[in-house]
Amino acid sequence: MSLIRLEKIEMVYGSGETRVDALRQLDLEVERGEFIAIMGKSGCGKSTLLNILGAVTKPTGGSYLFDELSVNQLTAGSAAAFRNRKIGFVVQHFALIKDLTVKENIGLPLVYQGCRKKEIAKRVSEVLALLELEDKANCYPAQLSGGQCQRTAIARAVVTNPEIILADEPTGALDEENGKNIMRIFSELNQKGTTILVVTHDKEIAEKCNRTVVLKDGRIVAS
Amino acid sequence: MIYMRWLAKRMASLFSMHRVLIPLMIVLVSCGMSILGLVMNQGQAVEESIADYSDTYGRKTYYFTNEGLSDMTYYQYLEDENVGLYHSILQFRNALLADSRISFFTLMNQPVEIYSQAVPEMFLDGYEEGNADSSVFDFEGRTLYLTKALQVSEAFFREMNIKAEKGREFQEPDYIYKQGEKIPVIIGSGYEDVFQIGDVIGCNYLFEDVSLEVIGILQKDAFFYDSMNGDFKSCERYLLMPALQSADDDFFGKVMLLQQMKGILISDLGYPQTKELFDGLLYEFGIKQSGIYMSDPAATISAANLLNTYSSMTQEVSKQFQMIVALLLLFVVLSIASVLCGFIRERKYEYGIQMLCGAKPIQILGDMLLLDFVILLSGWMIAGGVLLINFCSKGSILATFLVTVLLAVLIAAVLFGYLYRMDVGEIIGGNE
Repeated sequence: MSLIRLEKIEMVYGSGETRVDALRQLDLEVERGEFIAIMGKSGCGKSTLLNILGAVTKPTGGSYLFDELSVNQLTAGSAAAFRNRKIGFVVQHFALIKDLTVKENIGLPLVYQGCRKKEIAKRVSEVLALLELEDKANCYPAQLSGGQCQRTAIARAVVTNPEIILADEPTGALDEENGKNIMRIFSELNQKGTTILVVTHDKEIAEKCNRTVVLKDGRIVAS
Repeated sequence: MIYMRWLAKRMASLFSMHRVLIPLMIVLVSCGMSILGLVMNQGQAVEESIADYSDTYGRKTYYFTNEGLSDMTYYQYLEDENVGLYHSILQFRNALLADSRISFFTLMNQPVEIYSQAVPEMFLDGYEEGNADSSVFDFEGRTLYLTKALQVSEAFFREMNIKAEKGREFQEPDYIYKQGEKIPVIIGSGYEDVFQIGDVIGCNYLFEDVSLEVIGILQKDAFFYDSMNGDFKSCERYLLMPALQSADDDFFGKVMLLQQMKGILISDLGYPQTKELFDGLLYEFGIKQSGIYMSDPAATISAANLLNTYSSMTQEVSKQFQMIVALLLLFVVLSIASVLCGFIRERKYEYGIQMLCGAKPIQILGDMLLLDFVILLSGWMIAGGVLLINFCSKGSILATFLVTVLLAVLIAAVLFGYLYRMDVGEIIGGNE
């Protein structure tokens, strides 16, 4: 049984002359434990697809099943709970809250789950160790390098043990060495069973994934 | 608990970023709530006054009485040897006062001519109409000041709810005229700087020189119904004299008795029955054709419209204030909501991060909702202090609290609407 099944997904922005078909009749299946790269030129619908997969945006047509759960039917509150428990996000510019420390940023999804302080501290220290950030636990994002920021973002994404990590250009703001390091972390997480879906322009990164999906004009042209 | 700590941290951050704007919003709320509380308190006082009046007077109707003696009858009445009509009217008046089904009091607007001292023109007859000049004239070597005065009987004070604030009110012997003795007088509150209790005023009243002795000063909010103008008038510029009775049937006694027929008859029997009662007494004492009469329903005023007249201005002012307060509260809601929406816009990126971390809309807006309630409740607490200092009722303070909560909820609804309209998902790439 697929973890994700998208059938005839459509996403239309605007209407009339300003209508943009971001996704057209898109079908996609993602199995558990896959490590997928999504590639395509700018404007081909990659980020829209990621938004739909993350239940941030509802498609204008088609069906989206996540582990047999119809994500399109979720209310705003249920979609939030779904994101919180099932999905980890990693974005290009890290998306860290600047006036929270590293450990506070990492613990944020657990705060929204209503976890107790001790439980949060335990989980946060585990992922800090996993991402080799123990000595930066009390630093603020402004005190970190780009690679450390992205590792913090990954730590936050995995702290809830999500079923899938959605990464949007995770190495886009990093130098080559840090980029490789981040991809190594993703590979390790994938080997432990986490499904990972990476949006990237970089062929080298795509080569590290098990499967590459190519989008063009809102359609999958290669998979 | 940890979420609350996180919220507290966010709040502290908001306060430190907006050190002027947030206190300004609190001041705005406190001003709005203070004005609302004061207006509500005023409105409550009017309502209580209406309720008190209604409880006290129920469905009573006020009928005006007067004498309309023809010239011939009047001069016959005044003739020394003709005392029959005088005694009949006296008996009729006594019967009217004694009848328990109705209440009757004399309310005569008869100016007195003061000569013992100059009287400020605001107290002179015709001052309000701009005719005060004609109320000062010289006569037989004296300058006379035609001064506004009311002659009232005992029930006037009870029925019009009027009290002397200083000194005393009239007592039974004060209503008996004794030639050569001073006539007690209660002065309106406007006279406070002109006359003092114990002062004696020389005047001409009903063709005789008499001395008035000030025995009391009326309360400030004392009003009487002026049947000539069909409106309430303040007593503050009037001298209140007892409607005098004379033990003698001489000229003075006759004129005073006739004067006592001008007054107000209060009854809850309805017009036909009251008229029957009044006419029955006239008939009983043989003065049906004398010209003494009770007004018809068209000229009467009911307790309700009496009160309406009394409070219409207050109610009108109160309505205008309510409109101003409603607009002010709308301004408070719109300005606070727009400022908080500005704060949300400022934090759009952070809210996007929170959304990606799985925060529910209420969790995302937690800091703004908390700030909304902190601003509104802080403003209300200041307003509550202002209202307490102004001795406003607990009801008014509680009502402002409920309005505050309602406004906070309204603003929260606006914030949620704004959040839903805002695309916080832009954090992942952007719309293609």
